[in-house]
Amino acid sequence: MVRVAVLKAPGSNCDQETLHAFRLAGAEPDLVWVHELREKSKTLDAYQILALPGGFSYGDDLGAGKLLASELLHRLGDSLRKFLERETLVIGICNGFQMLVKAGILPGGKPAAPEATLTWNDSGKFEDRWVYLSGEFNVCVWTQGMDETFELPVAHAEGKFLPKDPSVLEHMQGFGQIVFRYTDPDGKTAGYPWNPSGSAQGIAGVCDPSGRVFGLMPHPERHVAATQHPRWTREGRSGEGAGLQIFRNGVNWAAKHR
Amino acid sequence: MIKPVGLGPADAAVFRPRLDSERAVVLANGINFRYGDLDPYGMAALAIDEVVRQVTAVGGDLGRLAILDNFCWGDPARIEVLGSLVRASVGCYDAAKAYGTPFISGKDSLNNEYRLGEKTIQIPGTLLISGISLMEEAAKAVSMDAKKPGNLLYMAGLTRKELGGSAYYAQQGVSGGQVPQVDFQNGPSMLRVVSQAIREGLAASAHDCSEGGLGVAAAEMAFAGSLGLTLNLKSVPGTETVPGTGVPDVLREDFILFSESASRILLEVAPEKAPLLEKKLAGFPLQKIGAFEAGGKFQVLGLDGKPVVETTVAKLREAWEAPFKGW
Repeated sequence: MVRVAVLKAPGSNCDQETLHAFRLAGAEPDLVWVHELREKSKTLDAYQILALPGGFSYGDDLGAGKLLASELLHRLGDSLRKFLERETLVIGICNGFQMLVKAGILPGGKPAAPEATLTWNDSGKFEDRWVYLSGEFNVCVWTQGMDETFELPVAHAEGKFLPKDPSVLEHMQGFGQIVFRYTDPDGKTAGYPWNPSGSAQGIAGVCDPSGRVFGLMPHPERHVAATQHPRWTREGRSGEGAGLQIFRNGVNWAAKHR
Repeated sequence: MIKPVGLGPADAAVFRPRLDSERAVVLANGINFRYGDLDPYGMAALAIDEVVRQVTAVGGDLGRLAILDNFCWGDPARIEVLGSLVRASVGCYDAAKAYGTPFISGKDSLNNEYRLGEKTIQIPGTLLISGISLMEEAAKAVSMDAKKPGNLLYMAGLTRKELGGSAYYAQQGVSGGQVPQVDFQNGPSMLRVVSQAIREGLAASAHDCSEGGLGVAAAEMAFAGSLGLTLNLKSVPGTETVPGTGVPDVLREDFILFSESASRILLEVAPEKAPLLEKKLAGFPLQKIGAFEAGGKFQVLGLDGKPVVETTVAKLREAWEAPFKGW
């Protein structure tokens, strides 16, 4: 059984849905509090997947995900580095994506000086709604075999992906690290409101060059059942939601790479 | 599963609090302070009736519906304030008994008054009824948006000249009038059957007629589903006399459109399911009053068959969204 650590800090609030999504995908997820790692009552050694769920960790003081990112780097840095050196997977959703970027783990894959940030939406407000997403050629192990265009909900105020300079994006594109972009219903990159944040090139999710570390602003754990989709009653949707495939991909990959 | 506000205003919220279970909780709310200004007893009965309609519309289980009251009132030391509070409480008792919906909790907030010099401002006595119900399978929830061109629109329940406290009178600046009366015999018995029909999958969509009456409810169904609708006012089931008086009930087109008579639900029904619905509701007031169509034309045919309203669902949606434009 693939074991998943869903890391919770005060203010995380998508942990239960994330645990549920991993259970549906066939894994055995545990809720791990950040203080349990700090006090070493739990370690990451037993896990193949680390999931950083959405929410407002530590109240998003100093910026979304910033404090937990610092804690990951400075207090848990050794165990995190050890974890990343093994054949493991990381997914950061919304607040978790913000942490990965602010800790400099994305886009590079290892803690480093940040090459990008996730900053305030151009609209200046919390955007809470469903968006269209399209994948393109990428190396991400979490998203293989997904439909070309699908919908997931976003819920964030600080989701605008902003690289340090244009070369960062060129580099990421070259290595297949841009996983999802926001699009219009026809799958074409488009501006607001389709791109809810004004994110550079409509970027909604990115991975590291190995494809194992994945961060995204939309919430795949909120669409594991068709009945969570806003138009399920009129489109006759049933069964799974589009987000479940992401968790299943991660779990299947981890099962093969133990 | 169903959000309070989606493509249109939902009747009730449907959600699964336990992610590992298919069972859903239904939450509904009935409130209208305008009725209370005229008839606190009627306000209470209508708030409970509205909750029952809402739970019915989304496919909740009426047999497992419990309710709560929230009273927001002025200073009950004033005799007229206390009087209205008592009348509302009696309305709660009578309607809850009639519908078999137990009160499981409640809350009151009294003395909502403010004195400015010699002038005392008091809030209108307002009752909110919340309902909580269950649904065994969340995937069977029914939403209020019209689903398919060619589907028929049925009205279940009687439309009377009951405009007192209505949104229409408020908009027209008319005060007074008859607050809708809840029929404690026929209301519960009809809604139980309507509920069964919805839970058996006979309705593609359902919506309760409350604030704004038939006109607003039908418009909401149409724009939420981006479908056109032709509505025939002469088919709307009504009474010929004012109940209990024998006085002829002369219905005007605007009254039929905007009366807020109780215990009414709109049902969108596929033509092949219509005979089954009619059979199921035999003996109750049920009429086909329109049909949905492709395109965005929304028209209402008056008592003589000529159009009295001609507009588009885009305009109707725009009007609905206007208060929150730019948010």
